[in-house]
Amino acid sequence: MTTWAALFERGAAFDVDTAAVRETLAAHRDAGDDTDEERDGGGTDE
Amino acid sequence: MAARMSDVDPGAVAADADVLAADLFVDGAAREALDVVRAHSWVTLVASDPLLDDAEAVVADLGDQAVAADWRAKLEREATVVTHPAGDQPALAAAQAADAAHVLSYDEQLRSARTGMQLKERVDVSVKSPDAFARLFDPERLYPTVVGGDYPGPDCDPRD
Repeated sequence: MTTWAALFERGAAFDVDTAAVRETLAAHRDAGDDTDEERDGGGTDE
Repeated sequence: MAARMSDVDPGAVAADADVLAADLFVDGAAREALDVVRAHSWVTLVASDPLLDDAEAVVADLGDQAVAADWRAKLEREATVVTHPAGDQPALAAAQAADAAHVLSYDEQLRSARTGMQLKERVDVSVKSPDAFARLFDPERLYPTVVGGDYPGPDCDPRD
């Protein structure tokens, strides 16, 4: 099993900051919410 | 489900997906907070499949699939993975399912006083930013309650 030290070294190589993490999660969850609404029949058309 | 206010575990912590992913990428507050968890065998990180799914998606998007898969395998091995109803906010639901006292999140809405009041009606959980958790979580003070006896200091290598 890999160590946290090794994982952190790999993670650092992507040069990601906390703001990018937060924005990406928000976009991911928004996309999930839209998918749930469409599946439930509550589309987003206005 | 009825709220269970009396058996909350002060040594159990759920971290939202933003904190989990930031821990991997950034040498900052999220890592400092989760280092406290990793450094103590009696402090438990709780997670769920929906929570890990969210975090893995972020890691794969900002990093790559290989590091996301290895990271998830490591977390699944070290965290206590619980189940909860689909559709609930994953970190809160994982904390509730595990009776965890702490949720770590960068989400200001989740940490707002109003949300806190609503949460108190359902579960006795404190939602904190990672830097606040790192500042306020006191293993030495909690040890006698959670484990018993005198605090021996950290007993795990948080980089292992």
